[in-house]
Amino acid sequence: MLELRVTPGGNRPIYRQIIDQVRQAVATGELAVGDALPSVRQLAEELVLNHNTVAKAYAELVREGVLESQHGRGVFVAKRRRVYSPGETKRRLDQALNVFLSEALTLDVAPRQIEEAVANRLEQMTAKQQSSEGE
Amino acid sequence: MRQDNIAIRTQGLTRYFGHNAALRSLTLDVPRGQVTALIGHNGAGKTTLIRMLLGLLPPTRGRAELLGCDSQSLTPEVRARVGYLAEGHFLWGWMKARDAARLQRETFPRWDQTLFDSMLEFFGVAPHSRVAQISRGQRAGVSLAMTLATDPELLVLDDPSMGLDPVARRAVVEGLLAFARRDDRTILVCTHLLDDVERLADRIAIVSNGRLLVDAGLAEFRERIGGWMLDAEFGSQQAAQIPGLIDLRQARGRTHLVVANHDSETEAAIQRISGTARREDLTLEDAVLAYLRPAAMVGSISEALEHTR
Amino acid sequence: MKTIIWKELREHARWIPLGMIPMIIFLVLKWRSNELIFDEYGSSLSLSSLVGLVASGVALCLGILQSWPDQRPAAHALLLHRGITANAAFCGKLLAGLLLYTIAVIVPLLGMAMFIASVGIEHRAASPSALLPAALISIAAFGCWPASLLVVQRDAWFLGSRLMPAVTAAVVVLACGALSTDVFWLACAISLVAIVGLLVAAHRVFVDSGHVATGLGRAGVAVTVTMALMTVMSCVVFVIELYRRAPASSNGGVNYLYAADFGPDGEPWLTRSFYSRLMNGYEVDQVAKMLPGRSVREQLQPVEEGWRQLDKWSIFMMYSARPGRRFASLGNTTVANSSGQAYHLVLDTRLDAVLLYRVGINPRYRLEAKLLPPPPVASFGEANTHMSRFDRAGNFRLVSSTGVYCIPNSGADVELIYAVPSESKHLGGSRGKFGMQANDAPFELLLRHDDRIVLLESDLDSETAARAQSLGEFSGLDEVLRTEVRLPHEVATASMIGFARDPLRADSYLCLTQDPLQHDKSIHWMRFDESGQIKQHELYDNDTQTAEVFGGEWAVGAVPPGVWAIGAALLIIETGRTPPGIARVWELSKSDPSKAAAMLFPFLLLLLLQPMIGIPLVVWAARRRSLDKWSTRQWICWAFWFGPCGSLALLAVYPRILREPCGGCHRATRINLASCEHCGHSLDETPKTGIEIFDRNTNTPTIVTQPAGV
Repeated sequence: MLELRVTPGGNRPIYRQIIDQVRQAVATGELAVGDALPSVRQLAEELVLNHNTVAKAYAELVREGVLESQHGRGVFVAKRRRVYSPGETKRRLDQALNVFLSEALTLDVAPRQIEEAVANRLEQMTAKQQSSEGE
Repeated sequence: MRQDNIAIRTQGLTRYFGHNAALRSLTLDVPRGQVTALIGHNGAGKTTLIRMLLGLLPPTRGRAELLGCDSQSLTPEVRARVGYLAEGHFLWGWMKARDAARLQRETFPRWDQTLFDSMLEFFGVAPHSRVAQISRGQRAGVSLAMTLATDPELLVLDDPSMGLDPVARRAVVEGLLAFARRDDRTILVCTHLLDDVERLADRIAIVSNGRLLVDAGLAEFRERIGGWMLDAEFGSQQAAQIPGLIDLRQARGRTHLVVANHDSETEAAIQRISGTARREDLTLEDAVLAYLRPAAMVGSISEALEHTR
Repeated sequence: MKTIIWKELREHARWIPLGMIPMIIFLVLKWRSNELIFDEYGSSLSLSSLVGLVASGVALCLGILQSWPDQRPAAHALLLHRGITANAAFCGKLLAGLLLYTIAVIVPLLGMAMFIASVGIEHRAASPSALLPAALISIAAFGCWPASLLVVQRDAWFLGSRLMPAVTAAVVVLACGALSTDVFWLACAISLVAIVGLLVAAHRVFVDSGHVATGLGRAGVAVTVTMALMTVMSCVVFVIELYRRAPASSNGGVNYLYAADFGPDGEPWLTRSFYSRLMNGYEVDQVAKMLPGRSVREQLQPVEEGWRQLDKWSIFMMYSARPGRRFASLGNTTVANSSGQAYHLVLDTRLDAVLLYRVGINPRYRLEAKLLPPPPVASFGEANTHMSRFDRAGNFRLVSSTGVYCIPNSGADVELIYAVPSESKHLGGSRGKFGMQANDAPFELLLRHDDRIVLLESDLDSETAARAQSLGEFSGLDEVLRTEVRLPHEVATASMIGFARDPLRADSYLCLTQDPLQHDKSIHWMRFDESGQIKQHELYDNDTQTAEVFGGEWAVGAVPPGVWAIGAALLIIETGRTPPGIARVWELSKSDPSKAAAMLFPFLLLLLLQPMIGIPLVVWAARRRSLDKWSTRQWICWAFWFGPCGSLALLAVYPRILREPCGGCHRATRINLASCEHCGHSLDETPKTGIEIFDRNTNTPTIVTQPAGV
C-alpha cells in the first residue's frame, strides 16, 4: 500500500512533496506499472488537503509521464517512457548526480565504496522494475 | 446571479479611524470556487476589511462588491447567500445550540438542518446544551455549524481557529475542506495559522501596513519568492540595490535575503554583492514573515533582550 | 422580524422583574402615605413625577441593554448579517422593547388601578382615574428608549453631543409632566410626535450602520440635536435670569410693587408697597392720588396718619377640573361634629356628592355619609376650594360652580344659599369672610358669573351676629341678603382688578380695570349702579409698571425665529391676540410711532442676530464637513429658523473628514474623495514598492477534481 505523508510548513510545497513521494515509489518499485492511485478526493480527504493541491500534483505527474489518467476510472502508474529530450534528460541526470554525490562525499567514504553501492542498488531496482513490467 | 467568476471585488477600499489609516486603497479580487487566505498582522485591518465587505462598516473611500452586489447596500437575498463567521465565535450566552438553529433557520432560506445536526455531532455538542456552558472548541463548532448549514455560496471567516486546541483546529479545517469540495463554493478565510493555509488555500493575499502586497495563487507565490544566503554580514544599504528585496536578516556571520519576482537581474545583483551567494529553500512561514516582519519589528528580539542587560 | 422579536425577548425578559420593582415600590409607598385623597397632588410624593422618573429609567436602561452589547463587531454582525432587512431587525427590537416596557411599567399601573377599583371609597378617596396622568407620562417616557439607542450608537456623533438625545427625551417627559395636568390631549399629542421623531432618528442611524444619516434620518437627528441645544441654552439663560432676579431682600435691596387701589373716598390712588417680613405681607409705604391723563409716579408721598384703602374685592376665576381629579378636598375640621369626632369633607365629582370621612385611629378614615345637593339642584359641579371654608361652629360653606351651599355641623341636610343659573359662564368670586371677625360684617361672600356680581351678606347687626355661633342661628336663609349687581359691558371678563362699594353713595359701586396683557393701556375707573348703568368713567395713566419688568418684551427676540414664528402663528390662530414681542409695539404704533419703533428695534435686532450668527456658522461648518451645495442650502434654511443652535447641529450630525497630503501636489486634501481636490491626482495610486506579487490571472480556470484528459 502506498503511504504518503505530507508536512505542512516544510521547505517544499505540499504538492511537490506528493510528486516526490509518488516518483520515489514508482522508482523503487513500490508502485508497479498499472497500479491505481487513490482518487483526488480520497487522497485529499485522507491527507486533509485542498483537493486542488492533490489535483495539481497528479496533473504534474501525468504531464511528466509518471502517471496516466484513464477516463472515468482514475489515475494509474504509467509505463515508463521517455518524456524528455536527450538534453533535458542529461540535465536532470546531472542534477540528480550532483545532489547524490555531494551528499555521499560528505560522508567521507572512499569513491570506490560509492561506486560499489551504486552498482548494487541499481541492480536491485532494475531487477524489480523488470519483473513488474514483465507482469 | 452569476454574472462572472469573481465573488468579491474591491476597488480602492480605504478606511481611516481618526487619523489612523487601517486600510489604504485596497484593490482585491476573490475569484469564485477557490479558497483564498488573507494574512496580516493582528489589528492590521483584516477585520475592518471583512466588515466593510459585508456592509457592516462604511468605507472612507472606495467600494466593494459581494456576489455582484454593492457592499453598502446588500439585499437580504444576497446576504442569505453569504456566510460569515466573525472572530471569537461569538454567540449569545442564553442560547442553546438548537436556538442557534432556529435563529438561522428562520432567517436563511437555504438552511440545511441535517448538515447542522451532523456538524454538531462531529464537534460533540448536544443540541440542548447552553452556549455559555460548553467549551471554546465546542462553541467554535456550533458557530461553524450555524454558518455552514445556511449553505452559502460565499463563506467569509475571520480567524475561525483562534484560541482552539489542535483537535478542534483540525476539525475546523476538515469541515471547511468538506465544504469547499461542493460545487462552486468560494471561501475567504483570515488566519495566522500557516499550516492551515497550506492545507486549505488555493490563493493567498497578504496585507501589511494597510496595503495589499500579495494577491496570487499559493503555488505561484512560492515560486516567485526566492531565498538567498550570503556568507558575510551585509547591511541594508548594500542590499538596497537588489530589486524586489523584501527582507534581510543577519545571523551568525551570514545574511539571509528574501526576494520577490526574482530573475536573472536579481541573481546578477546578488552576485555583485557576494560571489558565494547560494539559493536556499524557503518555507511558507519564511515567505510570509518576510512580508510582515519589517512592518512589525525593528531588529531582532534577541537584540532587544540584549539591551536590557 | 418575528425571529428578532423572539431573540430580543429571550435575551432581555429576565430584566423585567427588576424593572417592575421600583414602580411597585413607589406605588405602594404612595398608597401607604395615608393621605385621604389618593391623587397626583399628594403632599409628599407626586405620583406622575415619580412614575415619570422610574419609567424613563426603565426605558433608558432597556434601550441601552438592547443596543450596547450589539456595538461589538461580532455581535453586530450576528444580528444584521442574515436574510432580513436591517429595517426588520430594528422593528423587531422596537416591538420587543415596547412589549417589555409595557410589562414593566404599565402592568404595575394597571394592577394598581384594579386594586383601587376593588377597594372602593370606603376608606380612601381614591379612584383609578388618578393614575391617568401617570399613564400619560409613561407613554412620554418611552421616548427615552430611542434616545438611548441614539446615544449608544456612537458613529454618527462626536464626543460631547453624544448625550443630546437623552436631553431631548428628558425635555419631552418634563414637558408632558407640566402639561398633563392642564391640557391632557395636547400633552398626549406632543409626546407622540416627539416619540415618533426620536424613533425615526434612531431607526435611520441603526439601519445605516453608522453612515451619515441621509434625508429623513438626518432631519430627525438634526431636530433632536437642535432641540437639545436649545434646551441647554434656555436652561443657562434661565439660571442667569433667576440669579439676576434673586429676591432683593436677600442682599438688602427692596423690590417695590406698584398698584392701583381705591382710596378712602373711593377715588383711585397709586400705591407703592413692599414685602414686609414682619407683617408677612405687603405693606403700603407711599401713595399718590391718581389724576386723569397724567402720570403721578413722581408724586408719591409717604402715607399719612389714618389713611386707609377702601375695602375692596379682587376677583379670581375658578379653575376647572383636570383629568384624574375626581376628588377635591374641601377641608377638614378639628371641631367635632354631632358624632363627636373630627371629620374631612371631600367632593366627589363622579358621584356628585360630598363625602364625609370620619377621622379615627385605625382605620384612619371611614366614610360616614354621602351628602347630595339639595333639590332642585342637580349637581355640585366643581368646587372652589379657596372660597369654601368652615366657620367656628364647624359648619361648612361650599362654593361651587353651581352655587353656594351650607353643610351644617349638626348633620342635617345640605342647605342651598344661592343657586348659580345653570347657563352661567365665567364663574369667579372673591375670598369672602364667613364668621365672626372684628369690625367685619359676618358672612360676606362675593360671587361673579356672566355679567353680574352677587353679594351675599347677613343682615344682622354686628352685635347679634357676634353672639351667634353658627349659621343655623341665623334662623334660616332669609337673613342672608342677596344683592345682584350688573356689570357694565365695558368691563371685560378678566380685567377687573378691584371692585368695591362706593363709600359715599348708597347703591353705587366702583371698579378698576386694566388689561393685563396690554401694559400700556390706561386704567379705567368706573362708578355704576345696580343695573349696570355707568355714572362716571375716568381714565388714568397706568403707572403700575414695576420697574423691573421681566426682561422687557424685546427679550422675546432671544427665542429662535422659527420657534417664535410657530408660537406666534398658533397664538394668532387660537386666540387672535398679537404675539409677545410685537404686542406692545402694535398698540403703541397707533399712538406713538416713534416710541413703538424704538421698542421694535431691539426685538428685531435680537431676532435677526440669530440667523446673522447662525448662517455664517453654518457655511463655515459645512465647508469643514465638506458638504455639497444643496445640503449646505438646506442647512442655511435650518439655521435661519433655528439660529446658532441649528447650525451647531450640523457639526454634530456629520462626521469629521481627515485631510492628508496628496501624492501629486502635496497639499492637504480630503481622504474620502477619489482624487485630489486641488490637482486631480488619483488618491488610489499607491507607490509601488517592488515587492508586490500579484497574479491577477483570475480568469484561469480552476483545476477541479480529476485532471481528465490532460
